[in-house]
Amino acid sequence: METLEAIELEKMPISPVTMAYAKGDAAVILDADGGLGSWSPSIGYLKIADLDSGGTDLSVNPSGTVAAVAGSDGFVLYDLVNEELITELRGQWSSSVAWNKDGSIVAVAFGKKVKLYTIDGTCIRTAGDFASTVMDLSWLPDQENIAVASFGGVSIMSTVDDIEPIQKEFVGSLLCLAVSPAADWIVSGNQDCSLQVFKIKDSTRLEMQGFPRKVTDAQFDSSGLWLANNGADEVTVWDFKGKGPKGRAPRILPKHVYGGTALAWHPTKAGVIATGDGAGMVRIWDVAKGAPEKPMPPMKRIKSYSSSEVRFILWDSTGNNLVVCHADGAIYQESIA
Amino acid sequence: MEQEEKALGPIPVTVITGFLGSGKTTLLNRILTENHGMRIAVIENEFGEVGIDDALVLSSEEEIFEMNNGCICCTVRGDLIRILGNLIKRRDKFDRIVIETTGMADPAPVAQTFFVDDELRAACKLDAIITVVDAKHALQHLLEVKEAGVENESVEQIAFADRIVLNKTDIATPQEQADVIKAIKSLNAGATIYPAVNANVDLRELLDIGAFDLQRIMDTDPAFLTDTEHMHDQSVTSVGIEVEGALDIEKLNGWLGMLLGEKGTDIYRSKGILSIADSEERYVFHAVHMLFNGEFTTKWEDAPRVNRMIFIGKNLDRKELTDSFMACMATENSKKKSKVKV
Repeated sequence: METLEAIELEKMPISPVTMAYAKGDAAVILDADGGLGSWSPSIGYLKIADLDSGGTDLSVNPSGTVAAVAGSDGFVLYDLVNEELITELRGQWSSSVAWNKDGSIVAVAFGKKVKLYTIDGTCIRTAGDFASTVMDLSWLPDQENIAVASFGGVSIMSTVDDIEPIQKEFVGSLLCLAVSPAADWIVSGNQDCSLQVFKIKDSTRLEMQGFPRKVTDAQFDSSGLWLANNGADEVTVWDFKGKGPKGRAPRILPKHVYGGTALAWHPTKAGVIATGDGAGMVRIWDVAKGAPEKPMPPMKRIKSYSSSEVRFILWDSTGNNLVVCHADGAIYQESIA
Repeated sequence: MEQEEKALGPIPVTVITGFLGSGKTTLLNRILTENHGMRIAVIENEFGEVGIDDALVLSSEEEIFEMNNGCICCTVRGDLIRILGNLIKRRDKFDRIVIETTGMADPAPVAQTFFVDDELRAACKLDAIITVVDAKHALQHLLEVKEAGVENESVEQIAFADRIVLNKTDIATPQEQADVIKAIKSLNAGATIYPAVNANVDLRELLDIGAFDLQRIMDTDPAFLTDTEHMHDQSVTSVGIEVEGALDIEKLNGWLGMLLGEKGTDIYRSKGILSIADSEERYVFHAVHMLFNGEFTTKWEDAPRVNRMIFIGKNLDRKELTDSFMACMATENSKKKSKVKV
């Protein structure tokens, strides 16, 4: 078993929610109180701003200069270079923010609507009156459509035309979304402890039930061949090769105490995933080496510096470094050479 | 951070319901301003009513949705799941959560949210539902006849309550108070009533009462089983059963499963402390509609083994419930069968 040494152990005075890479080697961190901070191995944690809204989601544009922050009382666009507010919109719950691929537009879930903003803070479109507060949204690879999760299913809405969204119906409350890189599948994790799999081109819907807990995280790997989700003490990985997961038993990544609390696929290596659990353990797996239904051993275990829940794992763009962030504010970077 | 030094248990959550103008916000302000040293997070439907600087106040817009869990009456509050989920991540910032509902809110989805959502079940502890009642005007709301299929929210709020603050007694005549107390007891015999002016009730009677805590259901007020009259034209009532002896667990489970499955929509709340044949421990359960939670708790030891049970809901047939319950009593045969199984 290989154990890796941490470069530095630090505890931030915050309860982190999520993080994303900014310009340089710094990670931007959003905390549960709506505070925005940065962290790097060399400098440590620095508070950037208090945004005065319970933090829920964060997305940094591809050039790493502007952070879109979602919170319990709205949305904020923040200039990370000049450390100043670009725009804000308050008064509704915002669960999700997502930049498009070139960083020109950010999609914002705002109550039961979706709003589109340009990088200078101009709102260019407001769409939808969904059945419930929008819980998640994700750009489709065509960069023209957005998948929107709310009660009653997934809506695929155009960002360029005023046409009715395409509905992928499921009578339940959706919590998270994943869109496959080839734009053939949309998957939702749900309050009723199920995973719903929708084929984009037709009305095919597959249902994976029986998870003991609600499914709050589902992600495709970079190849689109594998999808991982939480919802149990095992992380479940589905094989999406060819015609998809129908009739195929999943891979099982076992021994996640209190469930898989953080999932992060390697940015370039297909089938390689880092997972964190409720007891602070982080493991790396190569799912292609496992067999269906048989619990597989991890490829690596990361030395744990905190026994509190792993809140977030972030690979850098090279896939050689991993930042691990715990609920108690512990944060460290591991080199995965 | 402090949170690593002390283990933070589940967050107690108190729900305040009551019709518009009954004094919910007055009670909430009393809870917030009382010198109890607790840091309280408040979830209310609109900003602005509560103006306490130290309190963390969050706004919610009631968002009810059904669950796909086989329970036909199971609805939850999506807004609470979101807000409480965010508050859980700030657990070290407060000691208690108070949810103030709108005057028209149905308490069932609020309570069911804590049964259904695994994250909230682990991190929060629903302490009690407190209903504030206007002593002067409540009766007219309670007697209001709704269209077929439309629930009377004021009736539901009383039926779901663990504690009732009978507010504004200073403006109600003794007869008005007596009438409303009678009406309340006919709907919910188990809830304790606290007459008050300006919601001035000793907070020890309202907070940390563990009404949904199986270990503490046995401390329930003696009024738990008071037999009451039906209110005129009112189909909601409570039925108490008290009987000595031991129950056959298989028969009991079969009956409760069938009862809550078939009539769970009408049965708002039920709870009981039961004596099970061949078990030294009390079996305690409570349910909100069809959602059921039960477990063996403390030993009977020398205490009389008396089964106590209460149902609160619509269209309850006292005789049928009592007869069905009695049919679950253990016979010599079932005791032997049970012993063989053990």
